[in-house]
Amino acid sequence: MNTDYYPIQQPEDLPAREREDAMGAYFMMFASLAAGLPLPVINLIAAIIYYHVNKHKSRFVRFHSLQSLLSQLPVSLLNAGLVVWAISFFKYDFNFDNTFLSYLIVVILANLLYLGFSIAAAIKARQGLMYYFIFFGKLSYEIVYKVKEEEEQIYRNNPPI
Amino acid sequence: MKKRIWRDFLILLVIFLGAWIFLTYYPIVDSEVVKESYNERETEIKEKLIELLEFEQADSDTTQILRALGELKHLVSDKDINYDLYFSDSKDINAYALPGNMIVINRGIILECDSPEELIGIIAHELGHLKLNHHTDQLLTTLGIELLLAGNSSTAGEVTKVLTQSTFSRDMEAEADDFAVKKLQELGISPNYLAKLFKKLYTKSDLVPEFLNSHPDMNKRISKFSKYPFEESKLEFTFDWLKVKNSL
Repeated sequence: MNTDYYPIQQPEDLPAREREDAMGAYFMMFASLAAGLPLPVINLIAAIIYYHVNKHKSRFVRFHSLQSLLSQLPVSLLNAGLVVWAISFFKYDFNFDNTFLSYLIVVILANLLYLGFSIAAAIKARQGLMYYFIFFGKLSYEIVYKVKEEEEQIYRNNPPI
Repeated sequence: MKKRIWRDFLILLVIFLGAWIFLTYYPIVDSEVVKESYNERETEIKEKLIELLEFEQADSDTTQILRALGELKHLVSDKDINYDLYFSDSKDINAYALPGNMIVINRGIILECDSPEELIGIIAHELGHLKLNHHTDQLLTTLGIELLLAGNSSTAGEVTKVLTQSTFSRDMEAEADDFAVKKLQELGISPNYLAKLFKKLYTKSDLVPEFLNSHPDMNKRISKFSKYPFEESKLEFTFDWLKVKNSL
């Protein structure tokens, strides 16, 4: 099995349009995150659409779109959990306890971290640079840059021997 | 690379769960301090409510109804809860549990009770709300402590409105009913007394919309109390219930 990776494009090889698309992946997520706040699933749908629209562009754009999408998944799930938990207070009169309060703090911190790292990544992407988040960076790199066996080119037209 | 991805994933998971658990067990806000300040406020709230709504405490010797309520209060006791019973001269058919371990019985519901045993059932139900900690947030979330404490006599109407409209969840009502059943049985009173009272209120529902609104699933509740056969209670009281009612 081939475990090679495609070469990473260098900033000078990347046209401005691609850098902007890569940067857009992060900024688009912010907008959709804000729009999806009452129902944190909406932004996930937007994120998936953005990724699918951009996945046929260069690997650089695809990497940043995927990293942005993947890192948004847990944040959205945490936010959704918070919304459901908060609603249950009003519906079932659960006690507003420490477990919820600490969850709220952790979720706020996770959102702030996501925001901070995403801004950093967006700036790097605009400069044509790679920026790896913990876990999501490696995972996205593995998915986008790894040469898959089935992707190896099959040469049907060959020169005469 | 795959190993490193898994390692990163585990690091993230440990950070998330660790922070959550750490904050849960070592909270930033000291819950004891919060509790203490809440208890202080509870006393303040209690005093304000008594002042605003002119509640009269049972046990005092001034009127027949207060003497009678005092006697009933001594009967319906609980080792974990030291509560105060109040009489409110309101025609609304209602009784409610309030912050500060208060139970308030309106004139309206007393007039509907054919026997002191029925009223004991109501007191036991409200005591259930207190014992199971159902009361605290209800009033505070609807009304807001500041608004209540800043209130003068002109806000009394607003406060009464909130009190009669604030509802417990169905689960809470069911729990308080179960508590009442247990309490009545301890006292040798058939829970069927409550079924009788509720049936009466149900048929007169045009007169008592607030009471029914705040207590959903009336049919279910009546059938819960009706399961117990009716037996005349052997309790003896120092007062004549009819005379007490006539004095109102």
